[in-house]
Amino acid sequence: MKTLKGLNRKRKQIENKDLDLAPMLSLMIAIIPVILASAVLFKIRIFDSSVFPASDKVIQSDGAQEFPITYLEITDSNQIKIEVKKNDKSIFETSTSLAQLQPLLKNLKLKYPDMKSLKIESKGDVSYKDIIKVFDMAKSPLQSGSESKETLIETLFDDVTLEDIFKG
Amino acid sequence: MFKRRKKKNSEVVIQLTALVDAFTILVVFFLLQYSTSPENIELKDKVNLPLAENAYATESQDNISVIISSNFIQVGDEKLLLLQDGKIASNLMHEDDSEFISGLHDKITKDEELSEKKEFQWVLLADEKVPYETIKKTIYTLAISGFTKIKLASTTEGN
Repeated sequence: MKTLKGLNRKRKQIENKDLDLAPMLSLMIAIIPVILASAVLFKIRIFDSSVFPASDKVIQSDGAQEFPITYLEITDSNQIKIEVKKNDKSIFETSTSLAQLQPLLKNLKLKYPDMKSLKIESKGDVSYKDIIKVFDMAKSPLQSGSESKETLIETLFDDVTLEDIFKG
Repeated sequence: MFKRRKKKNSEVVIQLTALVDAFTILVVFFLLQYSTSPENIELKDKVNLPLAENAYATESQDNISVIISSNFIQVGDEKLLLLQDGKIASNLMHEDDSEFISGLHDKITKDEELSEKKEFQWVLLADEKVPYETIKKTIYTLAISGFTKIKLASTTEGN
């Protein structure tokens, strides 16, 4: 009888013992900083690469084109040909480099305030970085002071299109 | 007369179960957050996104990432094509159309899960040194395959 009682007591003791979760907790505490530290995170920002342009050749009822369109032909970062066309006729033409492009685009916007579309074509050895730079310049705010996120910022060009995607 | 009360051997046991539960949830949350958030995508294999100041943060939750490095094109979590210095091998291109990557088209359209995601936003995360020709061909192929909501990714921070 004594031995049975002893066994029962021992079983009860075993049943009542809690799991020791302290090492598990320590592991969790270690894992969280490791996950946070190992993740190489970037804040991704995007540009619309209008494959199908939203306002391509907006034609008025009388057949006259409503807005002039700027065409950029990039051969490399030092050779960018700019042409402004209205009704498929060239009204302005020049060449520049990527470094000088932004002031030139601003001047063009001041000269032709109705101009909303920029079409990019590439020839030769152009990198993704160059294309993103052009997008960045074209989408820069018209007025340098207007950087409030709450107000709608007017950009140099509303519609930036990769013109040569379907040209081959 | 007074009987001294025996002090109970009271052990203070901290209940760790709830704390462990909370930490487990946190770990799972962090792991899921990094894989699905459109703004915070973990870029491995040395993909350096170009910097841009005027790009905007995407609000859409329905994104598919297309990572283009100098060595591969990856759609979602799967590497679909291998590249050489960011260029596409000629055997992956269509015979009659030099702009169409038939290798990419076949793999995307055969994937039932991907082919149903035509309304999703396809975000191109390309290395800054990748030739634009490769980007152009990828966009062309995606557009022909019916995926027209294509965005170009950049970053605001130096990587």
